Amino acid sequence: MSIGSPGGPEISSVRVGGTSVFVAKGTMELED
Amino acid sequence: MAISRYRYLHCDVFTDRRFGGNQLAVFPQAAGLSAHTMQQIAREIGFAETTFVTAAEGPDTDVRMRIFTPGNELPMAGHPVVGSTFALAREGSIARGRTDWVFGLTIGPTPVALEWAGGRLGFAWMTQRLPEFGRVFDDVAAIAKASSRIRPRAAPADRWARTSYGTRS
Repeated sequence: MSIGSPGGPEISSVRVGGTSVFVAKGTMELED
Repeated sequence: MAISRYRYLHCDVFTDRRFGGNQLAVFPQAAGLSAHTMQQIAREIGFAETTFVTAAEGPDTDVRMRIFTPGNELPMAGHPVVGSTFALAREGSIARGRTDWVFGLTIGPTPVALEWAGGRLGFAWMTQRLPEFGRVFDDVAAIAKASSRIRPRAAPADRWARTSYGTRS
């Protein structure tokens, strides 16, 4: 991610990138 | 007594190691949950953020997604978008090989570019709104004093501006 500042270079786009890993899964059972 | 079941995935974001990075819980099929219940679930789980995915609300997005911290809902945030992208790819909601995806966040449509490697999602890029610069602050020492994370001598510039990416409404 790049961040500019007032009066600085004009920003054309801002992107955030990354990876992710799976850890676990489950099911939530909600009683009405 | 009726029981509603909601699946969730636990992911670690901004890392390639399990039990590293930022924790995230993703409910990939959250239809039927009220915003109040979403908030209660996010508080109960206690991760920095929990996301809830439902059907798209318009033709310009693939899904609707809401992001909750334990305390409130966020209109947009980076790590939940990146992590949810991986969760939905694992679930198959995002078809293998697809290179673009659009989340309908509270802030609006938010596109994600996907990079695949070996049949798996390898990297995700979220494009976010351009920053909106607010008032400029000249008193760096006062800013550093207000933040426990900034030491005055570590301040990289002599002028700071309030900057918003739309993460706070």
